[in-house]
Amino acid sequence: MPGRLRVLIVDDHPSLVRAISRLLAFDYEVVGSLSHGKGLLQAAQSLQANVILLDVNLPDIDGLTACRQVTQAAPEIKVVIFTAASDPDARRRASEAGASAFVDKIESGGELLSTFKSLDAGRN
Amino acid sequence: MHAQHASGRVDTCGADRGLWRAFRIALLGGLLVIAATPSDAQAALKQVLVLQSLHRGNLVLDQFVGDFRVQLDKRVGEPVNVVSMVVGPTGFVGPPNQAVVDYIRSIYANRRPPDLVMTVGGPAAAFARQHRRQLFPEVPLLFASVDERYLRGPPPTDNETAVAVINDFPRLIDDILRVLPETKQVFMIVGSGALGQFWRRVLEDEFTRFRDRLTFIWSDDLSLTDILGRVASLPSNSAIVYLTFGADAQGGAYADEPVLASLHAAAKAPMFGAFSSLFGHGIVGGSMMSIGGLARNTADVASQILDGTPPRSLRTPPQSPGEPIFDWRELRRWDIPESRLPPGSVVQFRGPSLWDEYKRAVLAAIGVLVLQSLLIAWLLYERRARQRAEIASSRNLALAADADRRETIAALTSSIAHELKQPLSSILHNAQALQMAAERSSSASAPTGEILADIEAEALLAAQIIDRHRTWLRTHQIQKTPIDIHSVVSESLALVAHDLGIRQIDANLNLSSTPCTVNGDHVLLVQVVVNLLRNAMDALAEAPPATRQITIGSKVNMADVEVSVHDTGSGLPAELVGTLFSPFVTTKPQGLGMGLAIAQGIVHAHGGTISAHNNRDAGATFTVVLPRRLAPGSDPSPVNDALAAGLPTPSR
Repeated sequence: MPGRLRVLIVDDHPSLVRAISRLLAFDYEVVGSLSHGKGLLQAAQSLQANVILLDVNLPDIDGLTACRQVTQAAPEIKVVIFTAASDPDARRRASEAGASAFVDKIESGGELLSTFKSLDAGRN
Repeated sequence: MHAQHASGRVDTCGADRGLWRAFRIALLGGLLVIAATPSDAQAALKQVLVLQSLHRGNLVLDQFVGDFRVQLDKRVGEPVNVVSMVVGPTGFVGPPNQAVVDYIRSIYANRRPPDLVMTVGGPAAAFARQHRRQLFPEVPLLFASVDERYLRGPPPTDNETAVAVINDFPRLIDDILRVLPETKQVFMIVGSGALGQFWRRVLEDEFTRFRDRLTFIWSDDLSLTDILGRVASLPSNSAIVYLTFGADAQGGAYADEPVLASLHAAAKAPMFGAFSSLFGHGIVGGSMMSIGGLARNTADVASQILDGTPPRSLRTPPQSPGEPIFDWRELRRWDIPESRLPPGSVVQFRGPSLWDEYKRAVLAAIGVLVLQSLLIAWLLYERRARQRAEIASSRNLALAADADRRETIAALTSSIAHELKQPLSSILHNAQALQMAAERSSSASAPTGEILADIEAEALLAAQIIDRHRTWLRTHQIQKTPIDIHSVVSESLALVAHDLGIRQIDANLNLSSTPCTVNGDHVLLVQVVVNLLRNAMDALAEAPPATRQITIGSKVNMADVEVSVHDTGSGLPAELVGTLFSPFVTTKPQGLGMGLAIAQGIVHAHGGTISAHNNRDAGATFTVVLPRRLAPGSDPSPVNDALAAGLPTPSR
């Protein structure tokens, strides 16, 4: 039986990173966080992350581009796009970039948890 | 009308030879009048023999005789031949009355007698009565200008009548006490010799009722020099009464006019008189005998006698003093209020009022004032109109600025939502963490204190974001306060930070180390900088992401502060140079072209300027220059900037 999901959080908003970490820590392993997209793949691989919770608006790189890079290079790592832009087009673009899921930042924490639960269940 | 038993004018030395010479001259005067009349005409003309009491110089009798001649001629309708001679004694020692009578008779020896004999004054009346039998007893005799006191005794005969007066000197004293109630003594100027003695005797008797209140000092035993000395040293509660003068105690003969002038100049007390002829010669006033009226009445009677009316049928009641008359100049000199004057008093010689005296100057001044007032009113109107225009302009600017901010906010809506979602999301997930901790009774991964602190901080951040944008949506009027332009820059950047991120634009700061304080409206100046930043961001749209740079700089000069927004974009199109800040000028398909026009309006409202130019390498730079607000005692030199930049400072 695989261990707990290992989650890497990428967001440039420190307070949000802390909040997500606290919430996920009940059931999953938060292995680290990044405030930028540069070196994401390497970090995920070195931290053995199963899931990357990825913000779209990063200061250095477009989150969808980073998503595409990760999913193409390491398909076993699931990417959850975590964004404030919740329009249908944003969901479509996230899907096209290879994201496994799309979570609106403003939705309640329940959605984030259920998304992770699905991912975790899919792993088994 | 005066008793003139012994007055004289030419005999001051007392020599008989001199007296006779004067007498002969007087008689010769009368002869010349007759001799000058052609004999043919003489028969047709009415002849009047006037026996005078005094020589010329007595103001009262001189006016009376002059007025009488004029009035008589008017009434008779043709010239009347008047022979005048002075029959009153001409000095302390005069010619014998009989000699005078003889002389008069001799004049008419070979001619027809006069048609009327008229005496003027008391002494002449007494003379005529005394020598009536020798002086043409068949000719009507008219006693004129005589105080009735002189006519006491036998009543006039059928061939005699009188136009007399009742001089009321006690009434004059009453007038004095009315206008000067504090008066304690009255200096009586009555002349010397028999005339003075007569009046002193009469008036001392009539003034008995004033005995307890007033002391009377009489001048009849004083020389004119002494009189002038006395009037110059009278105590303050004194008054002077001038009846007549004629001669002083030394026998010197004087005319009224110069004597009154000397008295007026020397007197330390106001002077009163009872005859209208004295009025205007330094007399304060009082109840006056009208000499003009007396001359008219006398001419009436004389003309009727000449017309054949028997004198016995022409009995005229004695004339009394008229209404009180006062000289305004003397009232002012002696500080006598007009409220004290007797009822019905007439004030003459009233000086010109300030209005009369300065009418031209006042009118000119009023004219100037009116012109000045009109000018001021016009200037005020202009100022008000300008203020209204300024207010309207300011209001229009404010309205345009409001609209522009709303447009900006609309354009930044996505960034606002994004900005708000960050703290809200943080709050939501923190709350969820807390809830899970509560459900699982585990606080290991959810330290409650930290979570609550984060929630509070994020809620505050959200509130700040909301506030910032709400300020932009609110209607705003210009309110200038001292503000640091660097705070304007940082808030402007915060507003567009999300857009900058999305557009992958690097924003750099190159700010002065010296505080850039200006007197300005924070919201509106932020609006200006945001406008410039949005322009710069739009200009960078086509540039490769790696080259997208915006640099915000500030510079402090001696009197102003510069804020510049430099971009590495496409630069300003050549066709827009010169019209860049005009309304509706834009290169953006969605833009109204009002942003830069409004920015310029806001900068101008702050007394500043805004300009733009293309950079040498790439892009454009917009520069706003605002008047610098110096703190009291601060060094206005930009030396701090020079120091901060590591530049050599000018030696002092």
